[in-house]
Amino acid sequence: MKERKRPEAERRKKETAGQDGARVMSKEEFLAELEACLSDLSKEEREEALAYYQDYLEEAGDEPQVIERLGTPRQVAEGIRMGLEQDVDAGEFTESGYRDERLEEAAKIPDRYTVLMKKEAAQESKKTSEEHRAEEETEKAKGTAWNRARFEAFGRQARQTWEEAKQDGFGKRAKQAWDDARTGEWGTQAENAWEEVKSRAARSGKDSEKAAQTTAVRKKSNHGILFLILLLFFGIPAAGVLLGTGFSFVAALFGALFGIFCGLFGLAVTACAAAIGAVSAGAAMIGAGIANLASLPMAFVMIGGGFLMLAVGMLCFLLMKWGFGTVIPWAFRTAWSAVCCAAGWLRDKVRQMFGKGGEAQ
Amino acid sequence: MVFNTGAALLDAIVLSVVSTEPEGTYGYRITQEVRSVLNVSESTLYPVLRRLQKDDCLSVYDREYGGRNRRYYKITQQGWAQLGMYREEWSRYSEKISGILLYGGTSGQGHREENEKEI
Repeated sequence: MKERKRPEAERRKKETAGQDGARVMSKEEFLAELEACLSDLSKEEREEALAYYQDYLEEAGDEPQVIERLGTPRQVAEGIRMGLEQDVDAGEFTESGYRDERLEEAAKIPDRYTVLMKKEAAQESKKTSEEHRAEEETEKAKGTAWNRARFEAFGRQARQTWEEAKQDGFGKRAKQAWDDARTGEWGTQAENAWEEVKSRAARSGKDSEKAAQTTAVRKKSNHGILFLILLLFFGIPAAGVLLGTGFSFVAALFGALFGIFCGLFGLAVTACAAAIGAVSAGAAMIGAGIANLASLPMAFVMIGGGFLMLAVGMLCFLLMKWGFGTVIPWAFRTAWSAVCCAAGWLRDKVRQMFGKGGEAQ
Repeated sequence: MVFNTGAALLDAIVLSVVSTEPEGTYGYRITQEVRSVLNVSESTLYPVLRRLQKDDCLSVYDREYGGRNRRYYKITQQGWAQLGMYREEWSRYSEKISGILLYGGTSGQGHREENEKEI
């Protein structure tokens, strides 16, 4: 340090003032910078040195110029480096020249530095250019091999994955998905839709059948109309005769029916009358009998006869009831149904001829 | 100071200072003691201590003091041997230098005795 050049007193003054009036570092700053300067050393050496100076500065405590006196972190680091490099031959006090202490600090660093540089240079030149190239080649080869290995491994993996996916996972999974889709909701919906389509087709088929039928019937109806025309043309006179005959026949029929009804009715009426008559006669006879109780035999005969007449009357009454209640209605119904049947038969025949077909027979 | 203190001499001095403490002593103290005699930079001492430690002349141990750690340096057996050698060497060397520097004589023993008598 420059201060050594001067005498004691001046040096002391310098110490208190600070070396060059520049800002003084803090302890933390100093240590941090020192650590940075020692980055090229091994971890052990670096940590040892930092621990030493940390303790040192803590020990120094409040002393104001300690950090200044230490010098810059770079100088300190250099000193440490030199110390590690130095090969001290213990037994010899070899003179590396009379080094003036005053100049030592200033010159120390360049000196030792150049020594170090020279040493390094010597070491370097020891290696031939071939060795250099060999080193480079090795490094390059290592790099290439590494890249190739990585690429191959990666490629192999990728290919394997692809194969697997294709054969196993991909195919299987896809099929699985397809099956699920088919059998699942989608499948049901599709099936329903399919059914609907089919039924609609069927219906339309039926319609087409009906249409065919209708066409056939229409064809028939065409024939029917033709026939009617012919019939009318030729059959009007015949029809007249026929109609007359028919009409008289129907009239006769009705007449017969009517006659039967009347007969039945008459019988019923007779029964009624008989009933009334008998009952009244009976009642009268009973009365007379009772009145004539004096002449006993006649009385009993009259009473008996009277009751008999009553009985007959009741029987007639019953007959009448039966006749009116049951027989006549039955007759009516039978006659009526017969007439209806005939009429219906006639109607159907006419309809068939004139092609109002297609309905259920 | 005019004369430079070489590395070996520094090693010797530091070793001697540490040897005075049977239980060892710590870096700051060593530095203060050496600086009381020699005007060396405070940052000069650490490399010396480190070298001596690596050469097994000094052993280190940590002891807590006032809530912080202190690293103590203690002289080893080998350190003692080395110190002994240094001391012998220094005697011989310094005598030679003194002879020629102080008394101007390069002659042998006789000359020395004469000078010693004078002193």
